[in-house]
Amino acid sequence: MTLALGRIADGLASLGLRVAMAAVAAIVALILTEIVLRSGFGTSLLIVEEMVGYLMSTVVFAGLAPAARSGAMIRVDALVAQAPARARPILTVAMQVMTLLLAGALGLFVLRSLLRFEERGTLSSGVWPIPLWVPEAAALFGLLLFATVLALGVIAPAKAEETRDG
Amino acid sequence: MDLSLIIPLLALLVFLAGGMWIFSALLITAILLLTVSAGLDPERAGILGSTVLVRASRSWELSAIPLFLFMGELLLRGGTAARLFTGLVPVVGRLPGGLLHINVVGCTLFAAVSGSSTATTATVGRVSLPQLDQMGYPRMLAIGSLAGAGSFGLLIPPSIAMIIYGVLSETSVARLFAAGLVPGLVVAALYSLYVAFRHPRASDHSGTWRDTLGLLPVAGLVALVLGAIYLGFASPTEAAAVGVAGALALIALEGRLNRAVIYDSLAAAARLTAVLGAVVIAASVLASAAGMVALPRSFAAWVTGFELSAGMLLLALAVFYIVLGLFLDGVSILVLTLPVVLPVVQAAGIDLVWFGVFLVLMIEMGLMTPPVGFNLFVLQSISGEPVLRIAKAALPFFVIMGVAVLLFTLFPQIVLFLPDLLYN
Repeated sequence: MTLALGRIADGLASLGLRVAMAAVAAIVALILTEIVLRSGFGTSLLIVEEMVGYLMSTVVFAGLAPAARSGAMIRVDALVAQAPARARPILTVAMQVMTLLLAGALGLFVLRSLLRFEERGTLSSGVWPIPLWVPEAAALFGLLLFATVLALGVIAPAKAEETRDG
Repeated sequence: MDLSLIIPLLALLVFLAGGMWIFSALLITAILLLTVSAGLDPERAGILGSTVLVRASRSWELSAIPLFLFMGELLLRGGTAARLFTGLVPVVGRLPGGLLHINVVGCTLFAAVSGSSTATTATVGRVSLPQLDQMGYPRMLAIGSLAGAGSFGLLIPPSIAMIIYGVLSETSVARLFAAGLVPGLVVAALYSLYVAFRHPRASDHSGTWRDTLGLLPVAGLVALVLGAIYLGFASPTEAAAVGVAGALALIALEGRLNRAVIYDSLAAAARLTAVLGAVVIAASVLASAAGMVALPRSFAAWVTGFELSAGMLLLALAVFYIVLGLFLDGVSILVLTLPVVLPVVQAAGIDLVWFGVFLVLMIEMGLMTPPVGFNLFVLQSISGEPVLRIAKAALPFFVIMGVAVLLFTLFPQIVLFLPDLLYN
């Protein structure tokens, strides 16, 4: 059972990673297209800054689940390392449950914002108006994935090392 | 201090000490500040928090991070690091200090494609340390120079830490990139002088200049990316996208481009972007919440009450950051302190671009100090030496960096002349 839940969590994390990777690739493609159009043809897509913003948001939110599952999230572990061995997993689970509640609450607020935008038909103010519920949906997708992976992770923890970047 | 402010700040300390991920600790603290301190009901606090969070994640400036990471990963997986050692042998071999300079020069060059100190230390260390060991160079001097120079990833542009500072302090990332270059080169020169002084012998290995020529395409790519930013042809994000295209073209021409290289590079860049981006957007929510309860203004007024000169304030901040560096990593220090420290710095009339370089140097010093100096752990995994022994080897380089900070404080033009020249 635990093994199956762990596999589901890994699969969801992998899905989030692929979406984040696609968003990074799309950012590169959009900016390069804009540079070619601007310098070679004297024209512009006019939406690059706005679209890159939405894609960047997608990278961050969709990347949360794989980052959490691979143990890449930044945390202060010097003090936890000093705690008695028996207390450490309890502390970890307690902190994960609080993060899970936070992610759930944030997901609810983003969902409400999405529904409001959809109901009112709100569009972005750019040259090519985009329904604002679309970028909200990308953030919501990432938060839901993150919350699910966290919930599964409490039951079936990943065997990953904590890593950080300087 | 008001009890309603103490509760959220105390909670933040408990969360951090309990090992909670930094981004969730920042977000929960922000919600506590909005509800307990500002008196908002949870509903309004949630709406405000989630709105700021999503808006902050759509930053154009922030989008330079995945692109610079992608470029660095591509070059790393395309075999740049392996060529670094052989390519630098003819350049530095005849100097006093011999091939130990490869650690300093190699880290300086790799920092210009990587943007991350961990990647810089690990990549250069893995290639150079076994070779230097084999050639009989003093092991602890080699490890110490790697611990010191490995931190250049944060200072020498393109620097992820500079992008994060720029986003949080609303300072031009291009100016910060220009400001970081000369101090980075000055610290590198000081490190090289120290290495030459400690090990005056030149190397018996001369290498061939053909190997050095192999480094030119990567050096050209770095010059193209940074040149486009410095000369105002492109924003950091646009230059980073050109850098990605250039890195892809380079490794394709060398016949090393395949699906695995692209996939792994893209995956590493996306994952690390999420980690860093989550912390930065959570810090934006905390900064907004702190602003609502006038926490930065109160802190600035409290510090101003001591009537410190700018020099004394910087000294106090240096001590503060070095102590924080003992317990926190670089990104955490940036996001946790900037909302309250920036108003104080601004009130003291300190240039925000100069302060960005000062702050990054302080973080770099933190990377060399135990128990949380991350470069020490990277080197431990490469060399197998105990952390405290590595920290002792890094101590002279820590002191040299401290001297460099003093130099930049006494002569701020060392930091500011290039951004002033390019952008004024």
